[in-house]
Amino acid sequence: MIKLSASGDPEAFGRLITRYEDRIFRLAKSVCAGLPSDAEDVYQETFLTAFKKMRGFRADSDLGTWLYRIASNLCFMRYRKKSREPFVPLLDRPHDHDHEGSGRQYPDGEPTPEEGARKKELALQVSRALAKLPVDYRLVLTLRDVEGLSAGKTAKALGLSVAAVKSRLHRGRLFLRDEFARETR
Amino acid sequence: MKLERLTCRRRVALLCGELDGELSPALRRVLSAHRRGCLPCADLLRGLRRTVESLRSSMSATGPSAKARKRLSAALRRTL
Repeated sequence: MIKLSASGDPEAFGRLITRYEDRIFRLAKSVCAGLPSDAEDVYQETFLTAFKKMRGFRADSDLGTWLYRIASNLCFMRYRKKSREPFVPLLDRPHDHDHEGSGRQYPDGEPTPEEGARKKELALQVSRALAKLPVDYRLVLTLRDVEGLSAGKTAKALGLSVAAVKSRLHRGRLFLRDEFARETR
Repeated sequence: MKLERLTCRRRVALLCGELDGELSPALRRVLSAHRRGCLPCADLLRGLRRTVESLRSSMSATGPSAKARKRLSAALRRTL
């Protein structure tokens, strides 16, 4: 499929899209928090870029990681200059977790008649919280916690060290935890 | 290891390591024993776990719309 796609075979590339499009779209939607048209643009641009660069793809590389890398670069280019992205250093407040979080209510996941509405609200809540994070944090959180990539693959997709991935992941999770707690108070 | 003496940064890293299944069995035992007597750490781990679950479940069923797929196909046809 990769060889045929690289030779410009549209059918083979179509199969490649089918295999990876949900993953790429999820990444784009998560990083373009709350902006569906941006997510669709990133999704489209990712596969167009992949199609154009397919000849340069090394057969010993991981195709999924390569596509994530293209999509991540597109997200990064799109958002690095957009909005001010306010961000407070998260772990420089040594005792925050001693006082926050206890007593907050989380959805318990049991199916109820309101499940659809609850899921929608959860998606909105996640989008709002993600939108407050810088794009590189959103990328790390999405690749690790939504897509389930290892720290090593996430580092490869983003061109970061594993230590940098972990640092952003931990800070990002803590930030989201605080945001969710704030919203449910 | 005295977890009480760790900085917040290190404690969060340890709890995230626990969450991601990256800790050695020995360290997991130490952390588990610590959490039984430390409400803030137990609460933090619970909060982090629910945060990850929320992220995961909010995105689990996401895929491109038929319109987005159609737009991509048209754009690809133009590049051929």
